[in-house]
Amino acid sequence: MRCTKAGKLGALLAGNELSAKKTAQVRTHLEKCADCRRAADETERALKAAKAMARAEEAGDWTAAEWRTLLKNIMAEKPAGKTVWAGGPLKPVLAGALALFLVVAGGFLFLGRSPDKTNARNALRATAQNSAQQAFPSGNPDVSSVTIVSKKTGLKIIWFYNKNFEGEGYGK
Amino acid sequence: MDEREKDLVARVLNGDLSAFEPLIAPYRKPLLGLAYRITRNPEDAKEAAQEAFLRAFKYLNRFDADKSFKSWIFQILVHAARNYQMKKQKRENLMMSEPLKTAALATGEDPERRQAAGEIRSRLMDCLDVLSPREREVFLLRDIEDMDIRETARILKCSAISVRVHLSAARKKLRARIKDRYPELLEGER
Repeated sequence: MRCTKAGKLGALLAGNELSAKKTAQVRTHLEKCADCRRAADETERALKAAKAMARAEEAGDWTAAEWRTLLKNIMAEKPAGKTVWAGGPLKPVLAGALALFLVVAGGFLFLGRSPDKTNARNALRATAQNSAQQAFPSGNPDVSSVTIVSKKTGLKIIWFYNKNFEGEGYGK
Repeated sequence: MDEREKDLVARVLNGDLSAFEPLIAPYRKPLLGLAYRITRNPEDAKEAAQEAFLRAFKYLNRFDADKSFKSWIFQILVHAARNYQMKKQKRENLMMSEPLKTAALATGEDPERRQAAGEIRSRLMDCLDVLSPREREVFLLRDIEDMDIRETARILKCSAISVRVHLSAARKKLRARIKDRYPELLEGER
């Protein structure tokens, strides 16, 4: 064992915090190394001195009046214990209303059927149909279209393709 | 946790608030002492200890009755003292550093006794000054409050290895400080 490691472990030897194996290893090193032995010895004595100082030190206390005030302040807080529902008979009604709200809101969110979205979708579909009629007045069952809408300006560009995927016109 | 404490905790949780004082009374002085050694200021120590008692009361329903009440309340105190110091540090930084109060906690009326206690306190504080905040917490809990490594780790919410590392560093620094400034303490122990 090197002196650096023995120095670290030697500090723990003073408080008996090492395993039996480590303790034996450190002790073996200390027997051979006078410097480490001295350091470990000093650490042990310093620790004892610090403990003695802490025991002798009077850390103080609250005065009777301060202690009473402290307890009064504590008791003014919400007491410990399980949280008790104060709503009484309203509890099931509120729970039912909350559940209903969650189901409706969840349904809208999950299915994406908000009124705004549906209206927008219908408007877009109508625009596409109008544009298709303008581009192909006679009608063409083999035509498909791609609609591109700018989020910033609202500009709509619709490309029409024939069955060979060749561009046949556009509308906006 | 002993049966008496278990009973007191149960009574408080069942609404008997008068059981709280006998529950915390044994920790009144130890907690204040630890708070003082962490904060190094008597007023801050009282604030931190009061905060710890307040939180213990407020969150007693979260306490696991199979564990040690002492560890639990010490854990609350360490965090309360740490938070208090951080807030104070921020406040002081904003106000361009208010001078640190060094007045001691009241130790009775006898001037000689007060002087002796003050000397011991200043020596101990001087020794603790060389430690980092974490080293100080580890040292105080393990060596001064006699908590074991696992308890100390639980209170500080760190690993046992971390406790050992900080403890070793703290003891080495402490040895160096005592040897440098108070060598007579080492001689006296021979």
